[in-house]
Amino acid sequence: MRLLIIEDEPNLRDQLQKYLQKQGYAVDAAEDGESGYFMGREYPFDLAIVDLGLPKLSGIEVIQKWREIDKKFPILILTARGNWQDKVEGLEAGADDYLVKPFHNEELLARTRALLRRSAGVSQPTINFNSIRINISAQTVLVNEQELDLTAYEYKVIEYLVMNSDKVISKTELTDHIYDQDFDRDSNVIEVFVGRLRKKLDPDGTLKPIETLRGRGYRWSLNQSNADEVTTAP
Amino acid sequence: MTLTGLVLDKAFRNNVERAQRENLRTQIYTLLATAELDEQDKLYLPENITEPRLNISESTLHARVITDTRKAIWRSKSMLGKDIGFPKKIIIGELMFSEFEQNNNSYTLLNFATQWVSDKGEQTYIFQIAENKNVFNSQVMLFRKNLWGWLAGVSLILIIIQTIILRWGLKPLRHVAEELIKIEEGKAKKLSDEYPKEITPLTNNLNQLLDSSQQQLTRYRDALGNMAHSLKTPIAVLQGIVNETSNKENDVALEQLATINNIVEYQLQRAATVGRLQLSDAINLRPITQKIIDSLNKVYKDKNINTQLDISNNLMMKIDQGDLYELLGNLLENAFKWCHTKVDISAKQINEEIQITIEDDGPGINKNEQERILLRGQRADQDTPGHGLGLAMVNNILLLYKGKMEISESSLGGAKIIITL
Repeated sequence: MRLLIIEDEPNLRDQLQKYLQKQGYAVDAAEDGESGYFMGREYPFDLAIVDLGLPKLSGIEVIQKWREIDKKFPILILTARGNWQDKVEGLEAGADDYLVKPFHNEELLARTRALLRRSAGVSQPTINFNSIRINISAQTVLVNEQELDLTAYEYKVIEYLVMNSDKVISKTELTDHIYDQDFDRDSNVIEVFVGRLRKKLDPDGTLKPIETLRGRGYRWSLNQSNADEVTTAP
Repeated sequence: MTLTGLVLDKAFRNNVERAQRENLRTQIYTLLATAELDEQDKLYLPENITEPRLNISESTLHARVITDTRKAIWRSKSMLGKDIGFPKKIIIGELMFSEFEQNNNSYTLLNFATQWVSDKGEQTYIFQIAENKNVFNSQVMLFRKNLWGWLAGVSLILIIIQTIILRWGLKPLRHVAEELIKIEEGKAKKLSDEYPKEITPLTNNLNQLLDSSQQQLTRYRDALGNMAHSLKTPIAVLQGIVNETSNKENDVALEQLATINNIVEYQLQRAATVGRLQLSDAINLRPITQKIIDSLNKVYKDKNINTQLDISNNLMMKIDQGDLYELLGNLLENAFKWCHTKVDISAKQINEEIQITIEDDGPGINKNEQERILLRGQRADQDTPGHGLGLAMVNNILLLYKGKMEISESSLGGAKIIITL
């Protein structure tokens, strides 16, 4: 999952970027409204975290302009002013949630995860596919109740595929969403990841959770099961 | 007017009194002229004398002549059954006025002592004449009655004329007062231009004052907002740094940072609360409520909350817009946070007040908690900021607007909060 942070305070920006990277997200950052808007327009983000008081272009304007050009990714606003008029204005402009500064990083992470889940149409942190169970809060994947040993990138690939299980995902799209823009990309790496994941998720080769559609990309082929809780989208 | 009356009254009294004394003096001189010495050198006066009022017994004028040994020489016919009394001291040749009371009548008395020289030697005679003051008093009374009657009449007419002139003259000022009330009620924004030239400086100045107070308020709020922004980002940075490694010192630092933040937040929000002291516009309640509900629906999208809004389209409320946002935002956020699936909001006008009811189907607020929240309303100043800042904020606004909050159980199963202001 690839996130964008627009925050003008350099310390806070770095802090958030590092924290979220550590949590397994690809994170890009912008220091003003204008460049932030540009990045959001040009790169495929899964979520944006926008400070309201930005130089050059205010947070509200950035959000409005994104929504005008039909950018649908969820947006979390950060605001120093905790007043309701600002919150309502931000949400009306097209944001999906707000967080009042100062906040705890854990709170930011929880909101980010909830928004990502929501945009993927998943309402619970745990998604079940019969013998495979994915917990996106804990970032763990269990096969037959045994936790898999996954690298951060492997997890990112599986999470992105699951969150977009209704679509065919091209290698480029997958690369865009698991790496930030400073990363040296090599699409062969994706093939390696998928190969490894297939082995780990389905050692017997019976489930075939990741489909390959020649020339188009990959698709998560399993349907969610209601094993012990309601996991379907509303 | 009263002073004029008193002066006139006094002048008239003095005048009448002087006339009476003058009259008595004339009478004494007439008596002196009438008196003669008889053959035995004794003073003699005829029984009937020229002044007719002395010759009838029902008269109000009485006279007699006595010697210095208090022996009566002559009594007028009108003296019948009356006594005048003797003078306390005798000074020859001097007119001595005095007053006395007898049988509920008051009299003015004039004593005049004179010496008659005859062959037998000197003899001192005292001429006494007294007049009942009833006549004098009734004259004064009549005068007074007339005087005060006229004065009262004139005063009344003057007051009426003055009132009419004042009312007419002050009409524009009354209009100003009416318009100011309208502005305060939020029915108008500034004073109109339809005023006479004389008071346009006043209305212009008032309009400027209204403008500048509005501008000042905006500036004040902007300054506060900027201050909040500039304080909170550094706090967020510090919190992030301290949060990275968990040890004893960092835990204390985190705690302190949280306290600083709570204080900043609480005081800033408190200061930004405007209250009815300012001339605020009347605001249509429904659109703002709808906006907040839409926003919260977005934030709590996962819960699929079913809201029911029962507020008429033209329910106006005289409150600062920012205050209204805080009030409804905090109350509705609580309802959205705690509800299962249902939140009902209704508002109606009751006399001069607006009553807003917010209900949810959540776990509700237990009795102890209810009391604690309401009690905090009375002592919001001493309230420790922190958890539940939202309700403290609501309490603050209610305090400023002299509103009240009731908490009870909703028929939906959760909390029912009624605020009236």
